Amino acid sequence: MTGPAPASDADRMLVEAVLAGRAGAFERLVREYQGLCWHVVQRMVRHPEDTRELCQETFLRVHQCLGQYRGESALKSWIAQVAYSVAKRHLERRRIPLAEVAGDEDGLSAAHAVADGHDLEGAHGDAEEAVQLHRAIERLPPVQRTVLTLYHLEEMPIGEIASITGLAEGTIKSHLFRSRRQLRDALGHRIGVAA
Amino acid sequence: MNHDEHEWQAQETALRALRDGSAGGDAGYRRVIAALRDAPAPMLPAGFAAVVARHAEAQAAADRRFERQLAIGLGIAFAVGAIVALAVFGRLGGAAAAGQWSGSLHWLFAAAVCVGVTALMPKPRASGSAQTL
Repeated sequence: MTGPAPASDADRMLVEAVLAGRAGAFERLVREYQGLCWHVVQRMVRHPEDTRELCQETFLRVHQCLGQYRGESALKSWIAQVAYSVAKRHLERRRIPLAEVAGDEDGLSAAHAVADGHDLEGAHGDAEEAVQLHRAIERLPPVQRTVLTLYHLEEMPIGEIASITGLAEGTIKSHLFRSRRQLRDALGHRIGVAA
Repeated sequence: MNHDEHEWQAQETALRALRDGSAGGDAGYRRVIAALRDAPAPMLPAGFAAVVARHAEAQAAADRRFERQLAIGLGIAFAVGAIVALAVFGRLGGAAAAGQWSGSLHWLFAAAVCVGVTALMPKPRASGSAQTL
Protein backbone atom coordinates (compact mmCIF):
# COMPACT_ATOMS: atom_id res chain seq x y z
CA MET A 1 0.00 0.00 0.00
CA THR A 2 1.25 3.47 -0.72
CA GLY A 3 0.96 6.54 1.47
CA PRO A 4 -0.63 9.79 0.40
CA ALA A 5 0.81 11.50 -2.67
CA PRO A 6 2.58 14.83 -1.99
CA ALA A 7 1.21 18.17 -3.15
CA SER A 8 1.38 18.91 -6.86
CA ASP A 9 2.79 22.18 -8.24
CA ALA A 10 -0.77 23.35 -8.89
CA ASP A 11 -1.63 22.70 -5.22
CA ARG A 12 1.38 24.69 -4.03
CA MET A 13 0.66 27.60 -6.34
CA LEU A 14 -2.96 27.76 -5.24
CA VAL A 15 -2.02 27.64 -1.55
CA GLU A 16 0.64 30.34 -2.04
CA ALA A 17 -1.89 32.53 -3.83
CA VAL A 18 -4.38 32.18 -0.96
CA LEU A 19 -1.73 32.83 1.69
CA ALA A 20 -0.54 35.88 -0.22
CA GLY A 21 -4.12 37.17 -0.17
CA ARG A 22 -4.44 37.23 -3.97
CA ALA A 23 -7.95 38.23 -5.06
CA GLY A 24 -10.19 35.31 -5.98
CA ALA A 25 -7.66 32.64 -4.96
CA PHE A 26 -9.64 31.25 -2.04
CA GLU A 27 -12.86 31.31 -4.02
CA ARG A 28 -11.09 29.26 -6.69
CA LEU A 29 -9.93 26.77 -4.06
CA VAL A 30 -13.48 26.40 -2.71
CA ARG A 31 -14.93 25.95 -6.19
CA GLU A 32 -12.37 23.27 -6.98
CA TYR A 33 -12.92 21.21 -3.84
CA GLN A 34 -16.55 21.88 -2.89
CA GLY A 35 -17.70 18.67 -4.62
CA LEU A 36 -15.22 16.56 -2.69
CA CYS A 37 -16.18 18.27 0.55
CA TRP A 38 -19.87 17.70 -0.14
CA HIS A 39 -19.34 14.00 -0.85
CA VAL A 40 -17.34 13.43 2.34
CA VAL A 41 -19.66 15.39 4.62
CA GLN A 42 -22.90 14.24 3.01
CA ARG A 43 -21.89 10.59 3.28
CA MET A 44 -21.17 11.13 6.95
CA VAL A 45 -24.18 13.18 8.07
CA ARG A 46 -26.74 12.58 5.25
CA HIS A 47 -28.73 15.70 6.13
CA PRO A 48 -28.57 18.27 3.27
CA GLU A 49 -28.96 21.36 5.49
CA ASP A 50 -26.34 20.14 7.98
CA THR A 51 -24.09 19.18 5.08
CA ARG A 52 -24.22 22.72 3.65
CA GLU A 53 -23.38 24.26 7.03
CA LEU A 54 -20.57 21.78 7.68
CA CYS A 55 -19.12 22.36 4.20
CA GLN A 56 -18.98 26.07 5.00
CA GLU A 57 -17.39 25.33 8.37
CA THR A 58 -14.85 23.09 6.63
CA PHE A 59 -13.73 25.81 4.24
CA LEU A 60 -13.60 28.44 6.97
CA ARG A 61 -11.28 26.15 8.88
CA VAL A 62 -9.24 25.47 5.73
CA HIS A 63 -8.79 29.23 5.30
CA GLN A 64 -7.83 29.65 8.93
CA CYS A 65 -5.33 26.75 8.99
CA LEU A 66 -3.94 26.86 5.45
CA GLY A 67 -0.67 28.23 6.80
CA GLN A 68 -0.17 24.87 8.53
CA TYR A 69 -0.44 22.93 5.25
CA ARG A 70 3.04 21.58 4.54
CA GLY A 71 2.41 19.95 1.16
CA GLU A 72 3.21 16.46 2.47
CA SER A 73 -0.08 15.22 1.03
CA ALA A 74 -2.18 16.41 -1.89
CA LEU A 75 -4.34 19.43 -1.12
CA LYS A 76 -7.35 17.26 -1.98
CA SER A 77 -6.44 14.83 0.83
CA TRP A 78 -5.79 17.63 3.30
CA ILE A 79 -9.17 19.23 2.60
CA ALA A 80 -10.92 15.85 2.75
CA GLN A 81 -9.24 15.31 6.13
CA VAL A 82 -10.60 18.62 7.43
CA ALA A 83 -14.08 17.80 6.06
CA TYR A 84 -14.00 14.33 7.63
CA SER A 85 -12.95 15.70 11.01
CA VAL A 86 -15.66 18.42 10.94
CA ALA A 87 -18.35 15.86 10.05
CA LYS A 88 -17.04 13.35 12.60
CA ARG A 89 -17.17 15.90 15.38
CA HIS A 90 -20.72 16.83 14.35
CA LEU A 91 -21.82 13.18 14.63
CA GLU A 92 -20.00 12.72 17.94
CA ARG A 93 -21.77 15.77 19.38
CA ARG A 94 -25.07 14.18 18.39
CA ARG A 95 -23.93 10.80 19.75
CA ILE A 96 -24.46 9.09 16.41
CA PRO A 97 -22.39 5.89 16.10
CA LEU A 98 -19.67 6.27 13.49
CA ALA A 99 -19.03 2.66 12.59
CA GLU A 100 -20.79 -0.65 12.97
CA VAL A 101 -20.29 -2.59 16.19
CA ALA A 102 -17.46 -5.10 15.93
CA GLY A 103 -18.10 -8.80 16.34
CA ASP A 104 -20.30 -9.32 13.33
CA GLU A 105 -17.78 -11.43 11.52
CA ASP A 106 -20.01 -13.05 8.95
CA GLY A 107 -21.68 -9.78 8.01
CA LEU A 108 -25.07 -11.46 7.72
CA SER A 109 -26.89 -9.33 10.28
CA ALA A 110 -25.39 -6.24 8.70
CA ALA A 111 -26.63 -7.39 5.32
CA HIS A 112 -30.10 -7.66 6.79
CA ALA A 113 -29.65 -4.23 8.34
CA VAL A 114 -28.79 -2.62 5.03
CA ALA A 115 -31.69 -4.42 3.37
CA ASP A 116 -33.91 -3.22 6.24
CA GLY A 117 -37.08 -4.88 5.11
CA HIS A 118 -36.69 -3.91 1.46
CA ASP A 119 -36.85 -6.85 -0.85
CA LEU A 120 -33.94 -6.10 -3.13
CA GLU A 121 -34.29 -9.54 -4.62
CA GLY A 122 -37.85 -8.78 -5.55
CA ALA A 123 -37.12 -5.33 -6.92
CA HIS A 124 -38.24 -5.08 -10.52
CA GLY A 125 -35.98 -3.58 -13.14
CA ASP A 126 -32.52 -2.05 -13.04
CA ALA A 127 -33.73 1.42 -12.03
CA GLU A 128 -35.73 0.07 -9.10
CA GLU A 129 -32.80 -2.08 -8.07
CA ALA A 130 -30.42 0.91 -8.22
CA VAL A 131 -32.75 2.95 -6.01
CA GLN A 132 -32.91 0.13 -3.47
CA LEU A 133 -29.15 -0.26 -3.63
CA HIS A 134 -28.67 3.45 -2.92
CA ARG A 135 -30.99 3.13 0.05
CA ALA A 136 -28.96 0.18 1.29
CA ILE A 137 -25.77 2.28 0.97
CA GLU A 138 -27.43 5.07 2.96
CA ARG A 139 -28.14 2.61 5.76
CA LEU A 140 -24.49 1.68 6.19
CA PRO A 141 -22.71 3.32 9.16
CA PRO A 142 -21.15 6.76 8.44
CA VAL A 143 -17.51 5.66 8.38
CA GLN A 144 -18.19 2.75 6.02
CA ARG A 145 -20.20 5.01 3.68
CA THR A 146 -17.41 7.57 3.63
CA VAL A 147 -14.67 5.01 3.03
CA LEU A 148 -16.67 3.57 0.12
CA THR A 149 -17.19 7.06 -1.31
CA LEU A 150 -13.53 8.03 -1.09
CA TYR A 151 -12.46 4.76 -2.70
CA HIS A 152 -15.06 4.47 -5.44
CA LEU A 153 -16.21 7.99 -6.19
CA GLU A 154 -13.05 10.00 -5.49
CA GLU A 155 -10.84 7.05 -6.54
CA MET A 156 -8.42 7.60 -3.68
CA PRO A 157 -5.92 4.85 -2.80
CA ILE A 158 -6.29 3.06 0.53
CA GLY A 159 -3.18 4.76 1.98
CA GLU A 160 -4.66 8.18 1.31
CA ILE A 161 -8.02 7.21 2.84
CA ALA A 162 -6.11 6.00 5.90
CA SER A 163 -4.45 9.39 6.30
CA ILE A 164 -7.78 11.20 5.89
CA THR A 165 -9.73 9.10 8.37
CA GLY A 166 -6.91 8.26 10.77
CA LEU A 167 -7.81 4.57 10.46
CA ALA A 168 -5.29 1.80 9.77
CA GLU A 169 -5.02 0.62 6.17
CA GLY A 170 -6.12 -2.86 7.25
CA THR A 171 -9.25 -1.37 8.79
CA ILE A 172 -10.02 0.55 5.57
CA LYS A 173 -9.60 -2.63 3.55
CA SER A 174 -11.82 -4.51 5.97
CA HIS A 175 -14.52 -1.81 5.78
CA LEU A 176 -14.41 -1.91 1.97
CA PHE A 177 -14.52 -5.67 1.82
CA ARG A 178 -17.30 -6.17 4.32
CA SER A 179 -19.47 -3.27 3.13
CA ARG A 180 -19.30 -4.41 -0.48
CA ARG A 181 -20.07 -7.96 0.52
CA GLN A 182 -23.01 -6.79 2.63
CA LEU A 183 -24.41 -4.80 -0.29
CA ARG A 184 -23.84 -7.75 -2.62
CA ASP A 185 -25.61 -10.06 -0.19
CA ALA A 186 -28.44 -7.57 0.11
CA LEU A 187 -28.91 -7.86 -3.64
CA GLY A 188 -29.59 -11.53 -3.12
CA HIS A 189 -29.07 -14.35 -5.47
CA ARG A 190 -31.16 -12.92 -8.28
CA ILE A 191 -28.04 -11.88 -10.08
CA GLY A 192 -25.97 -14.65 -11.55
CA VAL A 193 -22.23 -14.61 -11.85
CA ALA A 194 -20.99 -13.42 -15.18
CA ALA A 195 -18.17 -15.14 -16.85
CA MET B 1 -5.88 -18.18 -1.63
CA ASN B 2 -8.55 -18.28 1.10
CA HIS B 3 -12.21 -17.50 0.53
CA ASP B 4 -12.06 -13.87 1.73
CA GLU B 5 -9.01 -13.13 -0.38
CA HIS B 6 -10.75 -14.69 -3.37
CA GLU B 7 -13.82 -12.53 -2.76
CA TRP B 8 -11.67 -9.39 -2.34
CA GLN B 9 -10.14 -10.14 -5.73
CA ALA B 10 -13.65 -10.54 -7.19
CA GLN B 11 -14.61 -7.12 -5.82
CA GLU B 12 -11.47 -5.48 -7.19
CA THR B 13 -11.85 -7.20 -10.57
CA ALA B 14 -15.39 -5.83 -10.87
CA LEU B 15 -14.08 -2.36 -9.94
CA ARG B 16 -11.31 -2.48 -12.55
CA ALA B 17 -13.73 -3.74 -15.20
CA LEU B 18 -16.09 -0.84 -14.49
CA ARG B 19 -13.27 1.71 -14.56
CA ASP B 20 -11.96 0.32 -17.85
CA GLY B 21 -15.44 0.04 -19.29
CA SER B 22 -14.83 -3.61 -20.05
CA ALA B 23 -17.07 -6.61 -19.49
CA GLY B 24 -16.31 -9.20 -16.85
CA GLY B 25 -16.29 -9.52 -13.11
CA ASP B 26 -19.01 -10.64 -10.78
CA ALA B 27 -22.35 -9.17 -11.91
CA GLY B 28 -23.48 -8.48 -8.35
CA TYR B 29 -20.31 -6.61 -7.45
CA ARG B 30 -20.48 -4.69 -10.74
CA ARG B 31 -23.91 -3.39 -9.75
CA VAL B 32 -22.82 -2.58 -6.23
CA ILE B 33 -19.75 -0.69 -7.44
CA ALA B 34 -21.70 1.09 -10.19
CA ALA B 35 -24.10 2.34 -7.50
CA LEU B 36 -21.19 3.44 -5.31
CA ARG B 37 -19.69 5.41 -8.21
CA ASP B 38 -23.01 7.07 -8.94
CA ALA B 39 -23.41 9.58 -6.12
CA PRO B 40 -25.95 12.40 -6.22
CA ALA B 41 -24.59 15.76 -7.38
CA PRO B 42 -23.62 18.20 -4.62
CA MET B 43 -26.62 20.29 -3.54
CA LEU B 44 -24.67 23.42 -2.75
CA PRO B 45 -26.28 26.74 -3.63
CA ALA B 46 -25.03 28.72 -6.62
CA GLY B 47 -22.34 31.13 -5.53
CA PHE B 48 -21.41 28.97 -2.54
CA ALA B 49 -17.69 29.48 -3.18
CA ALA B 50 -18.04 33.28 -3.35
CA VAL B 51 -20.11 33.41 -0.16
CA VAL B 52 -17.67 31.19 1.75
CA ALA B 53 -14.69 33.21 0.49
CA ARG B 54 -16.36 36.42 1.71
CA HIS B 55 -17.06 34.87 5.14
CA ALA B 56 -13.51 33.57 5.41
CA GLU B 57 -12.06 36.98 4.57
CA ALA B 58 -14.39 38.72 7.01
CA GLN B 59 -13.38 36.27 9.73
CA ALA B 60 -9.67 36.72 8.95
CA ALA B 61 -10.10 40.51 9.03
CA ALA B 62 -11.87 40.26 12.40
CA ASP B 63 -9.03 38.08 13.72
CA ARG B 64 -6.45 40.59 12.52
CA ARG B 65 -8.42 43.44 14.14
CA PHE B 66 -8.56 41.53 17.41
CA GLU B 67 -4.81 40.81 17.31
CA ARG B 68 -4.09 44.47 16.63
CA GLN B 69 -6.34 45.60 19.47
CA LEU B 70 -4.74 43.07 21.78
CA ALA B 71 -1.26 44.30 20.83
CA ILE B 72 -2.32 47.92 21.44
CA GLY B 73 -3.85 46.94 24.79
CA LEU B 74 -0.69 45.16 25.86
CA GLY B 75 1.40 48.11 24.71
CA ILE B 76 -0.70 50.49 26.79
CA ALA B 77 -0.47 48.18 29.81
CA PHE B 78 3.28 48.02 29.35
CA ALA B 79 3.57 51.80 29.09
CA VAL B 80 1.41 52.34 32.20
CA GLY B 81 3.55 49.81 34.07
CA ALA B 82 6.70 51.61 32.97
CA ILE B 83 5.30 54.98 34.10
CA VAL B 84 4.28 53.55 37.49
CA ALA B 85 7.74 52.00 37.89
CA LEU B 86 9.37 55.29 37.01
CA ALA B 87 7.17 57.15 39.49
CA VAL B 88 7.83 54.69 42.31
CA PHE B 89 11.55 54.45 41.76
CA GLY B 90 11.84 58.13 40.87
CA ARG B 91 10.68 59.11 44.37
CA LEU B 92 13.38 57.12 46.06
CA GLY B 93 16.26 59.32 44.82
CA GLY B 94 19.72 59.20 46.24
CA ALA B 95 22.51 56.75 45.66
CA ALA B 96 20.52 53.67 46.74
CA ALA B 97 17.80 54.53 44.26
CA ALA B 98 20.35 55.08 41.56
CA GLY B 99 21.53 51.52 42.16
CA GLN B 100 17.97 50.19 41.83
CA TRP B 101 17.43 52.32 38.77
CA SER B 102 20.31 50.78 36.94
CA GLY B 103 18.81 47.30 37.65
CA SER B 104 15.35 48.40 36.53
CA LEU B 105 16.74 49.93 33.37
CA HIS B 106 18.17 46.54 32.41
CA TRP B 107 14.72 45.01 32.71
CA LEU B 108 13.11 47.84 30.80
CA PHE B 109 15.70 47.45 28.06
CA ALA B 110 15.11 43.68 27.88
CA ALA B 111 11.35 44.21 27.68
CA ALA B 112 11.78 46.80 24.92
CA VAL B 113 13.94 44.34 22.95
CA CYS B 114 11.23 41.65 23.31
CA VAL B 115 8.56 44.00 22.01
CA GLY B 116 10.80 45.09 19.13
CA VAL B 117 11.63 41.51 18.09
CA THR B 118 7.95 40.49 18.23
CA ALA B 119 7.00 43.46 16.07
CA LEU B 120 9.70 42.63 13.51
CA MET B 121 8.78 38.93 13.24
CA PRO B 122 7.20 37.96 9.87
CA LYS B 123 3.43 37.51 9.94
CA PRO B 124 2.05 34.05 8.99
CA ARG B 125 -0.47 35.58 6.56
CA ALA B 126 -0.24 38.70 4.47
CA SER B 127 -2.16 41.50 6.08
CA GLY B 128 -3.43 42.85 2.75
CA SER B 129 -7.08 42.27 1.97
CA ALA B 130 -7.98 39.42 -0.34
CA GLN B 131 -11.57 40.46 -0.72
CA THR B 132 -12.78 38.40 -3.61
CA LEU B 133 -16.03 40.09 -4.44
